[in-house]
Amino acid sequence: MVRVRSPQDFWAGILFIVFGGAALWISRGYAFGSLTKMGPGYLPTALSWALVAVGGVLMLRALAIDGPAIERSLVAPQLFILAAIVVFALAIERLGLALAVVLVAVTSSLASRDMRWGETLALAVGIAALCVLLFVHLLGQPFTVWAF
Amino acid sequence: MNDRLALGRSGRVAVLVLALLGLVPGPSPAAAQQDYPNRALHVFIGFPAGSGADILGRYFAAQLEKLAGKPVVVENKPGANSNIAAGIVATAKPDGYSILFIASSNMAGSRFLFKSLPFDTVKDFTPVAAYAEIAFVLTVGAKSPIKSVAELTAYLKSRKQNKYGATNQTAILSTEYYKQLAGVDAVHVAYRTAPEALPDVEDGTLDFMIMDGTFAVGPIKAGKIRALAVTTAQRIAALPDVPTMREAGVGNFEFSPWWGVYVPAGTPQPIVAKLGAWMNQISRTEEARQFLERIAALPLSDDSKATAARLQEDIVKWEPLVKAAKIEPQ
Amino acid sequence: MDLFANLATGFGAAVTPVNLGFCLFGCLIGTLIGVLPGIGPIATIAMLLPVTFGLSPLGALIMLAGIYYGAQYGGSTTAILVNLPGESSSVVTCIDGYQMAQKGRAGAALAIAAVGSFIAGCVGTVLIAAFAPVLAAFAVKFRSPEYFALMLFGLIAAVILAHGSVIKAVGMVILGLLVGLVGTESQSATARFTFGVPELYDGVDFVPLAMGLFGLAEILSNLDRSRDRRPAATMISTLWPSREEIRRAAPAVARGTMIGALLGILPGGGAVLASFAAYTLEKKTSRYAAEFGKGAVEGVAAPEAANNAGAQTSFIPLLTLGIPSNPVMALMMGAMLIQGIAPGTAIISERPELFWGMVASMWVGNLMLIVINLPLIGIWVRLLRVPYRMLFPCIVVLCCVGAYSVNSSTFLILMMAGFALLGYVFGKLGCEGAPFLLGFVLGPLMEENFRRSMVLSFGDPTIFLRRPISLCILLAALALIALIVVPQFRTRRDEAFQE
Repeated sequence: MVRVRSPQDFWAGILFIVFGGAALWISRGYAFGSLTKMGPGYLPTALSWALVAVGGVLMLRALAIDGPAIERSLVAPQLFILAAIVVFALAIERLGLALAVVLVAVTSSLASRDMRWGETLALAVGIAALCVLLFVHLLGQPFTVWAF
Repeated sequence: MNDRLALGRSGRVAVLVLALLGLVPGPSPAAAQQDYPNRALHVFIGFPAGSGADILGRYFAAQLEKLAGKPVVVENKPGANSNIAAGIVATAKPDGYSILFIASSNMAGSRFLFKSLPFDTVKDFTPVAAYAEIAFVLTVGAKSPIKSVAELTAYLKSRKQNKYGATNQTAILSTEYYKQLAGVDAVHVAYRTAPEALPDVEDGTLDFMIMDGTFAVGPIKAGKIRALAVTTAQRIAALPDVPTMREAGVGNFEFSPWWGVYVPAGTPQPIVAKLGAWMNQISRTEEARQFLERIAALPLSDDSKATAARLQEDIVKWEPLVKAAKIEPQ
Repeated sequence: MDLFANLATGFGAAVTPVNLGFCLFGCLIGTLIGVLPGIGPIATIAMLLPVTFGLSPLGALIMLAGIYYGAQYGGSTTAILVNLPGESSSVVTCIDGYQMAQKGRAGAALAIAAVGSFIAGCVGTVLIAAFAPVLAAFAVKFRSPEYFALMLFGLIAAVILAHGSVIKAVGMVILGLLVGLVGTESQSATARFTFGVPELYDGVDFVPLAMGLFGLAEILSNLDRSRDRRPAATMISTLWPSREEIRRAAPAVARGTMIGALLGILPGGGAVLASFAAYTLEKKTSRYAAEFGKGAVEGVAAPEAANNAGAQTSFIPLLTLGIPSNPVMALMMGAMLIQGIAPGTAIISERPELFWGMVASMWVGNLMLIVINLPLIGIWVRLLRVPYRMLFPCIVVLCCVGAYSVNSSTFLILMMAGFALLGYVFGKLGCEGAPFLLGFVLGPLMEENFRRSMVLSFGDPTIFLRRPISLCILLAALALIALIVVPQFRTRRDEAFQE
């Protein structure tokens, strides 16, 4: 069996091939044209092929040349941060800026193992107050502070 | 302690929070009409910040804020010839808080220029007011020997490969109209903004360009480009010596792009009337007239009905135009 | 001499209490929005445009200009502290600036950035004063073919930017190009890669992309380290750069200023290229090339100088030719039009107090900014000592709020989350963000200019070769490719010899 000697390169190659392939698939509907009269599909198609090619080269290289391994991911902290961002998207219009910020601060703090509840809540309220002062009162941005 | 167990208690809290959020209802339905407005108004403009359309729109938005007593937020949503901005307002709640500032060329012309629009510019909108009329100017480089529209027509007829610049739909369509009436041919070169095209007009790379009056006046006065005609029915105060296209002999040419305010269809009549009255009030002030003059525009104070009539007129005028210009619908 | 007389007029007009007040206000707001992720000078200036209608022309312009270069200073701060680029041109500062902060040299990095920017700003102002018409004449020669050549050159340079594998950098540039193509194509008005989402019709917005790919992705990868990270942050030796650092930074500032001043005058994409080009030049010519990407002081000094010099000279096309070089200048032009001033060659002769007043206020503004920013360094550095578990939630919050403030769209926030995840994955796979970003910024411009060149030449591709400037740039691009390829051969030969 062929051994993958450079995991980072190998998976980067796969990533490129996947993206390139997807782009190629999506661009099939756009008019192609010619080099001197480029249609909207010309560059996307050409670039997609190029990306797939680069991905292929990377994968082949990864089988031949040694390279660094992919560092382990803890997964949980990353999920909390991403969840925090989603929470903001859901909360900003339903609950208003103040609550949304508190929720985001709390949710993202949960990503850290050293998190302490007292400290986090204080921080959350603090940064919420700061955001309201800064964005709404000082910079006049149209946020609903409190949606009720 | 194993890092992966961090998901344990904190994870349950997070899941609970997300679940609760899902239960909270979305933003509340349309507010009472007599309180209108009781929060910020959003004005959508289909052109980028800093463009002629944007400057014009922001002025009115700022004046509107004073009359409405609530913030008026301008959101630039450029692209697809204002279709994006129009699309957003067409599908917005008809509560008077989503307002579209759009050019007549887009409202009247898009149905012919695009194969499938997700909205209908007549059925999905209620016209509120018309607030300004802008002149477009037919220009050539100052070094060019061409001094009149007649000379330009003769020049274009004598050559096979002509190029004209245009940055928006209004410019393209008025050029096509001219081409049709004068019997000449020229290829369209697209630019995003008028200033970008300016050097190419100046040195003759472009044979001619029908340009947004707002941006044309400065270079004309500075002597870099020459104005051959204005597209409106009357001469404009900023360029009193420049004839209209009609005066210059181009048949019955009249292309007066105007700017109107629209809200989604179904918006309650009292709100439409209130908003329209404010817009008319602004365009009747002396300050507005002076401001508009500086950007080569004229104020309009049409109310909802008059605006609807204007739009209808334009649609009727444009259909044969677009077909004759053989513009392919996108 | 005329120059001194003109400058005297200018200072006389700019150094009145009212105009100084406007300048200070602009600089303060500019620094603030530069530091805050999300809100940028474009949104702020656009918001303040109606206000300027009631102000005096010079005052209005001074204030808006202050916001613009204030934001440049502020944007560098977040780039260095938390890997968040405020503007596309600050991305390069993230590369080495953030690494310097990681090593406890945040104070030094911030100081070098501020002082370098100040010096560059002063030089830029002098260049405007002395050479505006000459520089403008040079700028005007750049049309679509030249821009295409320049963008192509820039993209090839982006590959050199990478400190890792060249092939991956090429892949990232191409991926960035593809993401840059998302949106509506201008000549045919076709929507590409938009999946029917209206927020994508104008393309992917830079703010959520940069915040996700750089700032948030950095947080995601930091959290993989099990203990509260960055012990180095508490080991800050001094707030100021060491003698060694200053010695190395000084020539980098000089080179960056020159590159920035030249590229900044070019309308359309000049500013972004300036910082990338300055960085690339330093990397290729420095004795310390191995340090680049790990905290080389030149990697901060040169792009920062280039940025600020470019910000000053980008006024030239507007003030002399009436052509705005970037969206901020377009807004400034809007402000002038509102005031009834038609920007163009007439300004210098018809309204000298306006032109020279602006020039003088630029210098005053830069002075104010360095006075504002240097003391702040102490505060920023102290901020870094806050335990990471309290710092990163604040960054996440500010990114979310900033992303939402772009145009009140929750879609952009979700997109930012997507880019954060993508940036995290890139980091795991050793793929770099900077080449991606350059592809993203330059791609659509390159396509537009190529197509326009083709239309103008009626389909004749030799237009690029027939025009002297574009020919030169294309040849330089070829030379650059050789530079990339040749060292590979050299290393292989060396390896062969060793065996």
